Amino acid sequence: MQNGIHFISSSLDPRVKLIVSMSFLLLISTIHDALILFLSFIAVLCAWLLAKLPIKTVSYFFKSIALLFAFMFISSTVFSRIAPKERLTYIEIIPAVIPLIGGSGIYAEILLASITFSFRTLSLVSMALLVSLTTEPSRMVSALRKLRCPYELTIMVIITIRFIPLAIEQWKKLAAVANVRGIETSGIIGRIKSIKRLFTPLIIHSIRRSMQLAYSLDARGFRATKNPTTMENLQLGSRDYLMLVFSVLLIALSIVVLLEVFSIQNISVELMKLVV
Amino acid sequence: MGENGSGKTTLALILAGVLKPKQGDIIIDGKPIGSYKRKQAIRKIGVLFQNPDDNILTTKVSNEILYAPWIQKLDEGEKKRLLNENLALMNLKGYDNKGIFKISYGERERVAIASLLVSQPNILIFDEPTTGQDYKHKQDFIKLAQKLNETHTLITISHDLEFLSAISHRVLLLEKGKITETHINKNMAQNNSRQFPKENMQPSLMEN
Repeated sequence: MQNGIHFISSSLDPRVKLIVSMSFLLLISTIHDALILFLSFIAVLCAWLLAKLPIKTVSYFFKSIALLFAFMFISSTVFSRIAPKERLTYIEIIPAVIPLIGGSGIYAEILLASITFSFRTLSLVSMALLVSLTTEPSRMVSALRKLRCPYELTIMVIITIRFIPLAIEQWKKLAAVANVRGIETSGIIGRIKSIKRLFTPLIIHSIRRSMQLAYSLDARGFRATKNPTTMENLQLGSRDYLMLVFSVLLIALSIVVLLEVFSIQNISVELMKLVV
Repeated sequence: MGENGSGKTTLALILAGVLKPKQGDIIIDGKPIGSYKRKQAIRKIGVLFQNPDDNILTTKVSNEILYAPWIQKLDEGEKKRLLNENLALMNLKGYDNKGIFKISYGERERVAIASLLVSQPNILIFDEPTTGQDYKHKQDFIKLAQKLNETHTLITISHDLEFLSAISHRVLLLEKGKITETHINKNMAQNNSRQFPKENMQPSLMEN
């Protein structure tokens, strides 16, 4: 694969991976506590370690994830508002010493809320990335078909995912071409400016490439039969059953959290009150 | 010339200032290429990429050729002059309003060269320009390259010994990013078996 993305043949069944990630999604969307969401993110990181992906791939994706985190965290801390149930704790960042402009600060509760929000999204994104990086597209197609997804739809989804690294590669080529035609593509300002110039050619080349793809799909008899056979027949192994039990546990835990059998939602709030 | 993956295209991109070298500098007209702004650098050196389709940024021949002047905000008269001059030079008269994907492979390559020539660079780098061309178009391209060679410095990446023997004054052999052999030989095609490793040669139907 190009662009440092490698599909490793992982031993888990892709269906199981999908089910586990769905139940994980369910669990973390029921939890509203920053500390527990942070722990769940650590759990996803452990899964990344277990996957033994090449360091280059991991660092590439984590750089982007870190950027996403920084963007979400800052924007939600600075711009979000919550209706105060009680008095909010104000943390002053810029002291109000300048006349007319005054100072600036944030509320501790909003800070906590944005930490919660960011860690939830982070766990979700890194989990989804892990699943897609460790599963070969053809195995994912078989898995989705076993889960009764329509064949055409499955292929469409997989091609869309497969198209992203190709588009990145095309972008790099176009940036080099634009560079020899006098467009600055290095540096932050150059990069931002070049987006405007390169967007149209990227679309043109993508459309051309997708047309070629359509021809090659036709040449291989896509949709010639209603029920095409697959390369391999997926079968669940003992590990898969173990992971299914694990996902049942995750679902059970999220139901427990939803029904508020015991309170785990306020640990961070209590901790914050101790600190501030 | 050199094997696939020996670093020919990378070297070309470094020479053109698209990639930054880890060590050393590329000096053109007494200044490192990195110190020029891109708008100035394209007046010094131009690169034709291997696949003509990858060289394309627009959908119309005239827009494609006038891309660099458009970026440099030249006036309309100057643009028109450059367009007509380069269309004539590349044997593309009457092509200015054609769609770029409607013309043939060889024509697209000539459009790509014209789009470099409008910036009037002194040095041109061609990355495997004869790949995928039939015999007639290759002969045409050799003539074109010879013509360009009179006014420009040509740096060509190629596996095509016929092409290289027709236009090159000096041939460098690249292996794993290092220059391993240098030949100053105009008629290298005749005595290539003695000088060049077999694996770097293009298989020929005429060989036996």
